Amino acid sequence: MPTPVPAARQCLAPAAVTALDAAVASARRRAHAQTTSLHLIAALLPQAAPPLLRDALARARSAAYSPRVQLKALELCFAVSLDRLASTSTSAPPTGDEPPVSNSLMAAIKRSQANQRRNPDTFHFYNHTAFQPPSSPAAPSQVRVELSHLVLAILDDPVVSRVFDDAGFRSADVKLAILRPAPPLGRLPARARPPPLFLCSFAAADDAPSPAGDDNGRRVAEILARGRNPMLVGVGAASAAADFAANSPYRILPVGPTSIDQTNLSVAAAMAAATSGLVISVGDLRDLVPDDGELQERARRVVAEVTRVLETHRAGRVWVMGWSATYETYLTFLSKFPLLDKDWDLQLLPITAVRAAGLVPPVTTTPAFSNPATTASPFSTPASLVEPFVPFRGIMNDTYESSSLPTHPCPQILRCQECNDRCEQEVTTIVKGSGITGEDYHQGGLPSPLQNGSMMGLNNGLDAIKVRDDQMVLKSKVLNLQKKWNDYCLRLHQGCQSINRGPYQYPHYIGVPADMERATLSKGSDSVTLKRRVIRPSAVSATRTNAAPKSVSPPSISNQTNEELVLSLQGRHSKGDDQFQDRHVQLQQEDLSSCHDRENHMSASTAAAASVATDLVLSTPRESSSKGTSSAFWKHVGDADKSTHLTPRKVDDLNQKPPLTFVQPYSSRSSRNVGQTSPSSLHSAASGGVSAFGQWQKPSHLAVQGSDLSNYKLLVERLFEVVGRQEEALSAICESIVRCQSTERRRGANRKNDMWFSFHGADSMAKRRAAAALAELVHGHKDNFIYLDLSLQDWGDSSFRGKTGIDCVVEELSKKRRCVIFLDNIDEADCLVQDSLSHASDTGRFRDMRGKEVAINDSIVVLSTRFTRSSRNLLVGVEEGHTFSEAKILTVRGQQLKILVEPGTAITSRGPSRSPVVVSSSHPLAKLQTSLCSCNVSKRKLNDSDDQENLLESPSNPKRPHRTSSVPFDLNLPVGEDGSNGADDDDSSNSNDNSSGNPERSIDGLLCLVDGAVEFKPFDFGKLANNILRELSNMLGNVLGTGCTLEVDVGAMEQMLAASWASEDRRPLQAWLEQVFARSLDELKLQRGNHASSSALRLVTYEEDTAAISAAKEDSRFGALLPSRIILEWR
Amino acid sequence: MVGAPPPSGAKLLQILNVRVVGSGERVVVLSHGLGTDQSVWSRVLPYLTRDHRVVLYDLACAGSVNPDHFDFGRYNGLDAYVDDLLSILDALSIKRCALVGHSVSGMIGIVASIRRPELFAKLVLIGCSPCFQNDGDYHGGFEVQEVQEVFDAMSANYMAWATGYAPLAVGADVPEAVQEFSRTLFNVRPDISLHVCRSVFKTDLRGVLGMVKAPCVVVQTARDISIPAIVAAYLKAHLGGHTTVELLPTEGHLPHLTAPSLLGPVLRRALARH
Repeated sequence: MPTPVPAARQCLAPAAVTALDAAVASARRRAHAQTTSLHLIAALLPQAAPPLLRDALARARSAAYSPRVQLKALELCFAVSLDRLASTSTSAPPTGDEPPVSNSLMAAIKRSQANQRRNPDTFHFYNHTAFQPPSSPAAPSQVRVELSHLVLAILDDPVVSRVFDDAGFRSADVKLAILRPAPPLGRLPARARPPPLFLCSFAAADDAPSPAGDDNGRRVAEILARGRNPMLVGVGAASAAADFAANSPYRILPVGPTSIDQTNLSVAAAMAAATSGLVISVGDLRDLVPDDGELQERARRVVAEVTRVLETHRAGRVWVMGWSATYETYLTFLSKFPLLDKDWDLQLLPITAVRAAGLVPPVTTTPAFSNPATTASPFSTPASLVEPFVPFRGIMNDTYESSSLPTHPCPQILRCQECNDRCEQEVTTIVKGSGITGEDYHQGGLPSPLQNGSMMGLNNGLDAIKVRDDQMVLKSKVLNLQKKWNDYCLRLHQGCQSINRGPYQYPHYIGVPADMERATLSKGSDSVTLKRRVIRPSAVSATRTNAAPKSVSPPSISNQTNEELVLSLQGRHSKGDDQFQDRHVQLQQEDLSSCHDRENHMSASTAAAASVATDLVLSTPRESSSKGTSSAFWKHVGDADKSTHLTPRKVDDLNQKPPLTFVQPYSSRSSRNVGQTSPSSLHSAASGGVSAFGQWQKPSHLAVQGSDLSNYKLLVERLFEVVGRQEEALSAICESIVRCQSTERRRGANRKNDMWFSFHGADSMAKRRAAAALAELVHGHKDNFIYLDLSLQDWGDSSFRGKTGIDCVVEELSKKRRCVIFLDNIDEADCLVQDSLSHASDTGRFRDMRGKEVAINDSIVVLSTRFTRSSRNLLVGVEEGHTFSEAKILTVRGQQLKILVEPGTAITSRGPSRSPVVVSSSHPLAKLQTSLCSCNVSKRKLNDSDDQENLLESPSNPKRPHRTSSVPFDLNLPVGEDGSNGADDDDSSNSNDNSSGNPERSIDGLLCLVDGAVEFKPFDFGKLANNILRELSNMLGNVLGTGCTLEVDVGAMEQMLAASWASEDRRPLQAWLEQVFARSLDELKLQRGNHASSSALRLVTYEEDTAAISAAKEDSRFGALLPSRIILEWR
Repeated sequence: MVGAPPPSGAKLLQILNVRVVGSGERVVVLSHGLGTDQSVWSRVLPYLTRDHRVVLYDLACAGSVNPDHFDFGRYNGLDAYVDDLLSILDALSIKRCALVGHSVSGMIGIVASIRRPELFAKLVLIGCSPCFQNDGDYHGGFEVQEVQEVFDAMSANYMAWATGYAPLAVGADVPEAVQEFSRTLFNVRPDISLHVCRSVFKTDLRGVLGMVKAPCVVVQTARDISIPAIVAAYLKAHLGGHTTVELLPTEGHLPHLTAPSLLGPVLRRALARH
């Protein structure tokens, strides 16, 4: 029932009328029959329209994309849906020239009218008028609807909200954004640069939530992407650091004086290569410069430890960050730890804005923010506080994507050989043309192995230029040329870069000409200078910031030049530099020795990969020690303030060494690797081919092998520590992880970082514990673990209520960004969960019911099922000899235990009717009579709330999933004629689902998609029970003597089994036996004296009233399953 | 609009925001209850769209329908709503379908299936009651006195009543569901809401239950403030067709909001069998 436009206009305030007119015009233009809500919203989207909706959209927190992109998407979606509208309603020709207002839009207008009326002050007035004549449709007084109210109401229109959904907006968010007006600062035009922020201006900042945090996080991420380590300084530093920690794609590992003892930095760092990276956060610098002596010592250890780890993983994805509210603290920090800013390669990042509301920096035009001068004196001039810094940047071409934190940070510019050659040619031409004489190409006369392999050693003849004058001009020309070729190469030859890169490519190019000139000048015109453009990342800051007269980087080009240089360097450093020499020599020796070691291992272990693993792991300390030496060496040079950066690589080693003839698939490459055990190559080896820039390079096989094997070993060890069994499964998991990391897997155009596993078979406890341990090992904290039992409909956790399984996953994942997602009983997932999982597996993004998407990042998804891989047969522990099934043990709840004492009946109780069931029942020593009577099992009843409490109590511990029937139980007691009504077993739901969608196939399809399928063996409860019985009998014998018997009720036994099964090892149960069980026996002996020795005891469970249970829970020292005392009861 | 003939055909489809989604041969009509609109189904909708053609529409009393079309005289009992439903099905040329009705729509479904038995292959009644008021042995959940109090509260301050009622109705501790229900509840104009409540509370379908021949599935949550559990048993005992009861282990009157993951599979199973 369309309403004429004038009638609708009467209900609207002027601004809304304008919007309506625009909508009407648009509807007319499109020859639509009616003006709908879609038209109205679409009319509000263009730039010319009132900014209300656009502002709100920009502020609405949307899922994954930048507001600009999403707004564009929204416009497209509206355009599409409007077009669609045309096709449906062209049949009705437009009546008159103003298409009347559609029913749904009119309804929205009425709704907004009502909303406006419903304001508390006008409510009663309206109420009376409305209710007097029930048949009169509308209130007499016309409320003129404001635009905001109108938009709010329209957002409820299902048609409109669907379009918003399509574009990735949630109408609820948009509504919220409209209701909450923008803070004043947010009124800046969207494209405006953020205003200069001075130290004084933070006070004026609004404290409304704003994207400023993101901005800081972005800056931090940029610094990380450049391989440097951010140090946030300023009033907002703490919150900026926290924001970054909350949102970063990296794993953040807080380290402080108090926690340094518990933190295993090296393990975390070793695992860093497996993830997107590790950022060690030293937190507030104030904590590191305490006055207290003892704390100071701890702080020193923190710094030393971090320095060590950074050195070891320099080229890996390990960073350090810290923050300080004042610059003074930072200075104090530096005075306590001199030169740490260089050792850690710190980059200061002034965070002056606490909350700068609405400052969204332009997204496309922002070049790389680089700040080469920050280490020098960022606070010397207020102007330098203006961010972003966009100074002249050398040939670094950082490109930045503003929409998300860079998981693959800036591409480094490395030209391929061809481009390099041409570039060199041009440079040479220029140099010659400029009248500067002298050039130096060191390309000839190389040993042939080098010529083949270490490309980067050859690339650099370009730099060997003697410059006499016109340096500035020349330099800029050369830089421009290089930039040009870089761009060109990046554009055209991107593919060949990875090929041309050597196996241990130095990750960092810097604009060397400056250094080169200085060196050249200082050395005089006649000396031959050897220039290297490739410098270790740690050298970069020093090179840039120290105005050192000489900056010579070491050669690895030819024997002669190398020796010459070393000689000349030694000559120059000869002023008492014996130490230097010693170190150098020592270093070489170490290099050599480690080379030999490796070589031997290599040749010896072509077959047995496992032994390679061991050997490489063993050799790691030596490597790191050599690195330590080299770093000391470096520091030493730095101390001398020569800015002389040596790569202690001796190319001659290669030739002098024994023949490298061992049989290895990668012999040539590895031999070179071995030959040049410079710190850098070690670093790159250790990081698995991930450069300091974090960019993925095709790693050399040796490097991969080395790091992966050590990772593998570490992983298996740590996993086994936690799980305590299932070695085969664990090593299969680790194998898959390492395989996934070392091979490049792709999903369309993007690299696939996530890993999907399927865990098959029984022993759910081990499966779950393994997954939780993975969360801790790979993603840093055991909180990064999402557990979801898909067979349950109610998730126990109240915050998950009313959501589907995938909703929960999305919600948790969006909080944590990366984690291990453990989906238990995947075979019982409903069709929606299955669909979303397939979608997630295909696209790398989880999408919840409302269309909100979250990226999986490098999370690990574990699909767990009780079924074995080969068959869908349930492999429960009811094979021969297994009395205890896992399903039963899983349902065990912690109950009170008591010992029933029947004095003097030990003999009679052992009647023929009680057939001993368990193997150890006739234990020779204790004459233990153990009978398993199953009478008590059925008595236990489920107490759901109690169980939930347990679940909530120990979120991190492996929980016992409580099982209720997966299908809601049916009141129809007699099974109906269609047979499937009353049954509450899985088969019925499966068969029913089969008829309408066949979920089994998609489950199997899902399980086929995984990166690794792992089989778990069922847990041997029988063996464990025997062990427990033996333990009990020993105790019984020790305390009471051999005369008495003990029957363990099956319920009690199950409880002990469950406790032991759920714990990592036997210790908790052992402790319980010793402390609780033995104490009860003591008590018994005390009270009965000699009679006790002939008693017949029965260990049984019993129900308590809830109050007592909760009281007992509070003091349960042995977990929820084992009571802290056993009651004695006499018969 | 008063006194005008009831709209029909395409006009009605538009007024009541009829939407058809999904693919499949079988047709399912989702009909929402009081205080909500069709958006209430959005969370269970994905469970159905893969295998069913789903018809969604708003009751005339919903907030998303232009209140101008709400004829206080006409919508004085269930019959007008039933007319609307049947007209929609006719306009869409649907010959046979299943109906999922929540609360008052369950009543509408019962009446509709009595009037046009050939049209409805199955009824799924969620939180449905044949009669809300207690009457002798029958326990509908409300005493006459209580009903009057509710009406008084509604007419005195609708907003306050709605704010208090929404969490009670939702029952389960799901803030989002409360928010969503409050939203749709507020969207209904208070006078309409009161009018509909009055007409619903005076409805008593107990006498006609036996005339329903279609198989029914009664979905009932473990605890529902509006519908005592015994009502489900009453429905099972008195409905004429083969009736089963599905008890959802959750709380509240709106399981499609609070527990879609529970209700979804139940609906799938129920609808797979028609």
